[in-house]
Amino acid sequence: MLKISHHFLSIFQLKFIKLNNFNNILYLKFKFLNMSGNSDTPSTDVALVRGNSSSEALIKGFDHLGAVDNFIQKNDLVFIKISFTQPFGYPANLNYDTLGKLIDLCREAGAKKVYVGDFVDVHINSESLTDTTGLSSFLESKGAKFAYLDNTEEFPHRKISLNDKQVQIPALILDADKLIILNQVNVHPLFILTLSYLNLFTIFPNKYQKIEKYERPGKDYLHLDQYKQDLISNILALSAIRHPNLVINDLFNVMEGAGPLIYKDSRCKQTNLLIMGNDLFSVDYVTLKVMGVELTESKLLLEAQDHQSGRYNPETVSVVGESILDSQLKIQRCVSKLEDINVKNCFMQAGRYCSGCFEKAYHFLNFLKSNMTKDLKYMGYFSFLIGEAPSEPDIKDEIILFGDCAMRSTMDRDFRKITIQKQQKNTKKIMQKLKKSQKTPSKTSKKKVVKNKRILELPGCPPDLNQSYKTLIRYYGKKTVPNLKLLDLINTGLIDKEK
Amino acid sequence: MINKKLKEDWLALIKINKRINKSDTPADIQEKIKIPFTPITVDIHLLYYLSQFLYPRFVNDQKNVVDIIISDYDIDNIVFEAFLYNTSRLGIYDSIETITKEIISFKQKDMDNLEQLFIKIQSTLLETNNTRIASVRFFRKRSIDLINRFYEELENYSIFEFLTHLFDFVQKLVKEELLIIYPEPNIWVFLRSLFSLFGNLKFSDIFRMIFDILPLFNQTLIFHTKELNFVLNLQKLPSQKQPNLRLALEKLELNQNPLVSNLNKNQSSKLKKEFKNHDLIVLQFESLISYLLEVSELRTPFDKEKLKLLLQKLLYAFTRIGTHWNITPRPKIYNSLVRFLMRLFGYNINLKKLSYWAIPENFYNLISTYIGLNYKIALLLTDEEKPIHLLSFACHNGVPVELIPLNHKNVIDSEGITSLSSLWNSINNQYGFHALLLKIDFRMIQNLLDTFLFKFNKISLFSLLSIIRMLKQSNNFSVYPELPPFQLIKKKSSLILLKVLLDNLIDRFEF
Repeated sequence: MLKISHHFLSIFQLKFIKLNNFNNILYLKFKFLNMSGNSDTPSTDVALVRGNSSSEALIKGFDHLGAVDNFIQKNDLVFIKISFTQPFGYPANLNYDTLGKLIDLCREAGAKKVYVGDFVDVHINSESLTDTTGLSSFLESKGAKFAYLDNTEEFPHRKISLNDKQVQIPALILDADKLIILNQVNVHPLFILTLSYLNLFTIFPNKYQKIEKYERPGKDYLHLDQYKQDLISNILALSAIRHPNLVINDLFNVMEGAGPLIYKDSRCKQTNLLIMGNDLFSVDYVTLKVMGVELTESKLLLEAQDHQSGRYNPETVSVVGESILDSQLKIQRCVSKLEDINVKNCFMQAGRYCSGCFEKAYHFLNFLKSNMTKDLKYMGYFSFLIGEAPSEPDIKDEIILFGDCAMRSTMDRDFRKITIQKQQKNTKKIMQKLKKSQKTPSKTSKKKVVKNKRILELPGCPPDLNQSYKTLIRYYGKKTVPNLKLLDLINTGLIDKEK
Repeated sequence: MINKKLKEDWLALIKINKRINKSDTPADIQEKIKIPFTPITVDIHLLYYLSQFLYPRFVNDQKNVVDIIISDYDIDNIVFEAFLYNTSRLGIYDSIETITKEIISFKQKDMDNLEQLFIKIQSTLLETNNTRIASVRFFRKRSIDLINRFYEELENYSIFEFLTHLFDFVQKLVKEELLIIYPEPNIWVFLRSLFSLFGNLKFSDIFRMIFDILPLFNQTLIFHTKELNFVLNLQKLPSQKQPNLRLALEKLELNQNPLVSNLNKNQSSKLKKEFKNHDLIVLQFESLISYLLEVSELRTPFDKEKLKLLLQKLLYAFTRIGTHWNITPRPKIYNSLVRFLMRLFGYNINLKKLSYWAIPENFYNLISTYIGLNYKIALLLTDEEKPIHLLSFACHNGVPVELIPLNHKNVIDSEGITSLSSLWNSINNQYGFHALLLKIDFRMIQNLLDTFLFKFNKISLFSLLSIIRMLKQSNNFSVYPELPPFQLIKKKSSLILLKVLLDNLIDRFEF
């Protein structure tokens, strides 16, 4: 008896026939290219394409994977998940050319509605952001709409259980007929590259994205880097809740050196490549290979592989289009040690810290280096202490303590107190001189120990960068940090006062 | 083969250079001569000095040059004519000798390996003429035809027409390799890089566009060198039909260093009377040329660090008033009392303390952060909301890589500009995504140029505030999408904005 799979077939390609005499039933297995969102076993075909423009590469990618119609059906409600958190330029944010073409293709395939969205940075008003960057106008011209996911009235959320926690995810994303991940690939300080898994992780509000410090009994939080473990666990748990129907890693221009935001050391490398498929792991795996990163170097993908044991097998990933070998690139990754970020006048002392503090400190120091040229000169020399039990600061006159670990572990340290000369009152000095009993001041002047006020504490586990910058302005004064003050004024318009 | 007039002018120059070189009292030779390839007549000593100073720095710092006119076709011997210039002093052509075809002959394929060809010609001339040459210029026959045509019409050109034709002529020579120089001077490679940036755009069109936007001006520049001083006067005159530019270049006899001390009353009034303008700008010529030399070392794709460094150097030179440049009369803003009073109100406008070391870095990082590393910007120049020019700049890693003129009629209909957002979307659909659309009225540009360049001696706190106020008016300057830095300009009060900007542009400490 011939048993044919129940999956809806639109276009198929015969890959192999397997004969199985078990119970005298003949199975015909068809490898097909209809990537239904309800498919339990997504195809591991990954298109690796090159084009003169990103839109050209996108069209080529669809051609290799069997046309857009295989992904988008008529009257589908499509949600495109993009990387869009702050008002930064490309490639820190999405590639508008790729997005525009993708929307055009979805509409040509008959999609009823196309939504585009992301949860923006916690301090920012999403409507201001889309207006300021022109994204809302751009989408309108394309016949799509930006989904303000933080507006729960327009886009209600649904409660979902994630790693024994209750979180809320916009129903739009869960119920959309098609979920497409459009991910801009750049270097990342924690995960080497900004993979699609990271893009998918921001489909729920910022408050759930924060990793709370939870110390397991008998386990050293810092030694095991529990922060990163918990983060990866949450990312993978979320990826299991809603599988994307299409994953696009946009490598047309990749930021290297420092990223994923634009800093002084950031450079853009034009690769003309696009990687797409319907399986998160496969697409990210091929992306790593193309960027010269081994699977063993990516803890996130290694865990993903273990997470769905047997399901994700790199050996089964088949690449169509260009070959990985011909497309391989070498990119300059982010620094792996904070000490390698050369910030003028900054003396770093690092203790033991987790990935949370590392990531925040990475952004903080790069921000200082890139945007505070003048301020660093005016601030003078300072010590930057991070992590648990950092060594003694080189500069005791100005100290920045970054994170709760640094603050807590240095409470009783010597630098918290300084010894100063006890100042004689002027009138006393004058009286002594008049009496001529002491023409010169006494050699044995009195000293006293006082609290060192030149310590700036940036609390948080890890610290919130926005708050940290504001604290810097308050501590140093706007005349000492004019660059930072200007940036603060520039970003004021975007701040969500309600948040 | 060569235009008769050009030959006459060129030989006259060689003759007079020879006279100066041989004379015991060259200062007694008081003559004026036309600069070859231009309609400008100057004092011979000025031309002599400029040739001697500029040629070794920009072209070649060794003696003796050969010019060879070659065929465009592949024949047995592509050499038509060859001339040897024995230059006793660098940059000064004081003798010319024809070299016969029997001495120098080669084929078209020899041009594929210029180094070998150069060595061959050099060793041949060393044997026959006992002359070691430093450079060879290969003129293709088409270039001679172009030169001849240019020279024939030179008499009829106004200064403006001369400049536009000269730019086209040089662009053609460089792009089509009609003139090949070995060893290739830096300036030639720089020009090639620059023209590649423009794509199919003509340099003369860019010049014409810039000239149309410039306000009417009358600028007198005095160049101070160790040996002599000379003055350049440029005037854009009002004209109904054709653009009108006047240019005068004269040697100046001065008793004192005009950078350090003001010109005496007589000299100053004489210059003002002759050129009919009130202010004089003095520039240190050697420093200026040294800077331009560094600029000529740029290659595409430009190195962003080098661009930042050049901008830093320019700003540094600006802070060195009295050393690298000077202006008469000095703007009141340099007066210590005026600055003290402004500082009392919180406005630190000490132009000598411009943060030249920080401005390029901050400016570049601001652009990178909010616009990106790879982007295209569309620039729309208007005249009271009527579109004049639409240009697209492409940047890669923050440095310009391409400049393309766009046809504004493709994106703006006859009714005019309805809304900036719809125009931006039209440009994106037609020409690819542009991160920014800048709409600037040309009067805004004129105002900026007047304030910071042509009428710099009148700069004050109020003129700076008026610039900021003009930027706030959307008919003068508007941007879409209105990124956060532009929103700050529109929303913040001018007084507070100026204070914040000055804190970022001027050093905090006086000493």
